[in-house]
Amino acid sequence: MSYNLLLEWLSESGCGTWSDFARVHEWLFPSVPGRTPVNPYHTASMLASLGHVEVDWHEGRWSIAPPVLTILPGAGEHAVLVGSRTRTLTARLEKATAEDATDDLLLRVYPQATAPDAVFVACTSESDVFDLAASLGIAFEYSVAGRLCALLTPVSESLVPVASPPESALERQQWDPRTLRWNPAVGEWQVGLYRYRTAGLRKYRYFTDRSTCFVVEFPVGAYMELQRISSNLVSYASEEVNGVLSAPARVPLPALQARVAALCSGVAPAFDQKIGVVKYLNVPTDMAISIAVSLGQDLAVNRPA
Amino acid sequence: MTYNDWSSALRERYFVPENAGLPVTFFVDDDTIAEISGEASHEEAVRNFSKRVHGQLIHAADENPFQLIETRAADWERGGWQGDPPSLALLAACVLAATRMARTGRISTNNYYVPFWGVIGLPRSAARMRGYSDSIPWLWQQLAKWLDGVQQGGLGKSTITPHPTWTVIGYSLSQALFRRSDRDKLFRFFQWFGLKPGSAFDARELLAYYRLWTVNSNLSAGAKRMAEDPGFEPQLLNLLDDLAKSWDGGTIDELGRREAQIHVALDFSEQALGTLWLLAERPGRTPEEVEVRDGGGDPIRLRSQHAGWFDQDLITLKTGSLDRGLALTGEGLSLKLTPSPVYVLAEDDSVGFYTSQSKTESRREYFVLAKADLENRLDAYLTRHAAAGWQAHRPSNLPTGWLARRRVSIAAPPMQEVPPELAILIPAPQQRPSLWGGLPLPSGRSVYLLGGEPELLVPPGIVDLIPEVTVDGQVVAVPQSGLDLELRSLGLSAGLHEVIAGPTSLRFSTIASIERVVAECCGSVTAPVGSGRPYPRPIGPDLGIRVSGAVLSGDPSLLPPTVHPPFILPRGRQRYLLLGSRPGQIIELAEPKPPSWLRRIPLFPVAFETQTDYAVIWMLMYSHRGKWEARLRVETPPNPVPSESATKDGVQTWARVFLEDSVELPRAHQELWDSYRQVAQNLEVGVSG
Repeated sequence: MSYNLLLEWLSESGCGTWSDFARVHEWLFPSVPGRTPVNPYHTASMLASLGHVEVDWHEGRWSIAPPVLTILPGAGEHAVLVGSRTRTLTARLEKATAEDATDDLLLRVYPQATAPDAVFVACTSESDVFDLAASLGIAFEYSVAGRLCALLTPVSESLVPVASPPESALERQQWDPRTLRWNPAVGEWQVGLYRYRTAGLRKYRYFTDRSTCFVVEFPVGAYMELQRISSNLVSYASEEVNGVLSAPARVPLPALQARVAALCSGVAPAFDQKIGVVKYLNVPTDMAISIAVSLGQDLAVNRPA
Repeated sequence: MTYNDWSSALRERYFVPENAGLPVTFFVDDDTIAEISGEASHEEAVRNFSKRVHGQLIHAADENPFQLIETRAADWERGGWQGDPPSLALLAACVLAATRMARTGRISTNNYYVPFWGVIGLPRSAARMRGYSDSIPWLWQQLAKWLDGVQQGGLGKSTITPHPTWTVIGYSLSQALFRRSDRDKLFRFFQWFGLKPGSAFDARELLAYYRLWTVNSNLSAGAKRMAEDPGFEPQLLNLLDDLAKSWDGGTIDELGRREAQIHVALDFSEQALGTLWLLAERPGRTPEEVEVRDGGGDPIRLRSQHAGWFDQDLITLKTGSLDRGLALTGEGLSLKLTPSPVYVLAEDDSVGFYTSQSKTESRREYFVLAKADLENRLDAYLTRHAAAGWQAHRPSNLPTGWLARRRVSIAAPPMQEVPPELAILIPAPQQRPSLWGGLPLPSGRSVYLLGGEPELLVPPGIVDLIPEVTVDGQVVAVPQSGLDLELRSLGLSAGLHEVIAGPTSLRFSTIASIERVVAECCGSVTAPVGSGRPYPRPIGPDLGIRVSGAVLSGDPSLLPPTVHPPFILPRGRQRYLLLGSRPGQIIELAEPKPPSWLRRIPLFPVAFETQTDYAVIWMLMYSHRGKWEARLRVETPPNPVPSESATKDGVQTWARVFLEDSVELPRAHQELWDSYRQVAQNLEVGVSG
């Protein structure tokens, strides 16, 4: 319920600052004594991976993404609604797919515990979904995941260098790629991934040597570190159709890789607490390989018995 | 000092450019007179002052004693208001009498006139009383006119106000109850109220909370009396309105010095676990660099780097500073670390350190410093009321006898009693009712999404002032412990809503939707994609390809091509045939099992996909009814030339389909079907119907 309200608010607002997002998040997901609070960064990353929002972490701004109906690859002809979901759009979608309006389309809403409902449209022809999108005034695309996948490049190539390391008296920590944990950091900058806070936002810097500093987002810097020590943590399990891509929960996929993986099924990745990984469903093998290559990971592929 | 010297001295003390825009009370008591005269003896000073005023009066018992001063004042006005007001010393005598009466705590006409005639050294008579009524109110009004009209508040704004009951002596009373020090204390009231400099406020609401605040304040008895007397309401409203509008957020101490806090600061720039310092605020209108002295008289130089802070020079934390606090004083400046058994430190963006805070907000993350003997009580409190994840911490220079905890976030105000030493860890709401949270929309001020109405918070302890609140007329009682009302639980409809909570009125509106498919700035944040290297093909960041959710933008020739949709077939048939326009273009399929993840969700696929290396024109499905059903996919005429990859068997199978008589197809497609049948019949591959 709260995730749906959050997505509605994001859609009706259109765009805003990180502090707007954090304030609303705090109200929708109040802390409970003794329980780990819902982290607004995780929520924003999850919404971004599902293609609902785009977040500019450096500027502290977000905007809802344009709504798109996209057919999932190898998913028995199901389209999923990605991006903005204003109440007006939802009402029109419900009306256009009602029993008295069509025999060819069926609206199916899948409630998720830690994400907004996934809104699917079952069809027997992509042209019906195309026509539906046109009638709603939104975009249609067959398998957005595949198209986004074609844009994946090695994360090391997306780094933006900055002239000097940050100056801050706030807490600074260095990430340990072996334990996947943050440790207090002090003194000279070493090769590795650092984080510190400024203006309420966590900032990350990656040092390739003591003086070369890059502005990164955490997952990008983390996979750079894993690549540096040749640690392969991403795996893939084939199924009859496509397969499941797994990544450690402590090292989420970078935004574009996460979106490619999530939009193969349209549902939020499942968290397997027992082994500490998140699982993306219905990822075609070629996309899983592209994601792994872009992260510098040697993909471990498990074939079905 | 002559009478005119007194008038000038009084003007220079009260009505000066430093008071521009600020409400000024002409509060004159025995101490003031002594200070201005410079005499050691109060009695002597007042005697000399009275003598000078007495000298300007007409002494005949049957005449208006103030006629001479009134005439001079009228001439002063006619002459263009040159020089100091000639009435000032006489009006000061009026206030002096009123302050003496106020000290007795009993206001009455008689209690005023007895000291008044005594101060000016004339016995009371009927003519003199008439003279007072004729002249003194007019002189007060003239002074007000000079301050607000002629000077336009440039020397301070008048607080001279008539009183509905004390019509004659009320003017003097209006200046005798509220001292300069009372005015300075109002800044603390503004802080208590939660007023922000420059923010909008309602003076009537401010007055209602002022009356509540005065009860436990250290305002003078006169100021408290003034707050209780409805007759002074207009004056207090003006006073609060003027002062709140011009307030810069600072406070002033008993000695008239601008005061500011010294904070405990945690700095991670040199030590991994952080170092504790003391960090002083820099009040407004204070120089960027000051010299202050500690209790031992040792000088400390403080310089400012960031607005509002003396942050270029951190103050070393000495043994005992956390226990006993610290006071630093300088020219017109007082800096204080108020000692506390518990300090809460939060990230402060304005200065870049973690700094100690005066109160805790729920759900915000803090470092906590506490006396070591509170360890068990603190940890028990955090276990019960804080979100999971808090931990022990040890800054490098943590003083002996103190402990630290990090990542402390109090989830909600505790309902149980809390040890008084830990009171700072109780999230403190504002002092007045307010709206919190909700889903505010950028459509306008206080507009919320329907179903995302904010919460109404009424702090504890003001139930006398606010016994109940109304929401659109619906009455809700306020318990002693305060109120946290989820307005969305009231099922309010879209539209304008009003909450009345005592003197506070809060309005907001809700809308169900922006009535559009997308909001105006939808898609305004985009992420660049690509890299500088040719991998897997050149997609450089400089090429301007950007993504927003599932939408790509940029030069269409550089964007990845749209994925070719596969062929889609409905489930539930026994066999499927897909035919192209050329003989031999045919494949037969069976329905595959649905993907396992769909079953887990569960979704029930009604179709499946397949890829062909030719364009499918006809799709034939064999149903359980034992019939072939044909569907036209793309209206394309047949090409009689077999495809290059076609086998003889393939061509035969392709042709046989079109020669089949029992295929069901829509009447509209019969003509095209027949043209395919014609091609099939003409094929020289030995097929037959």
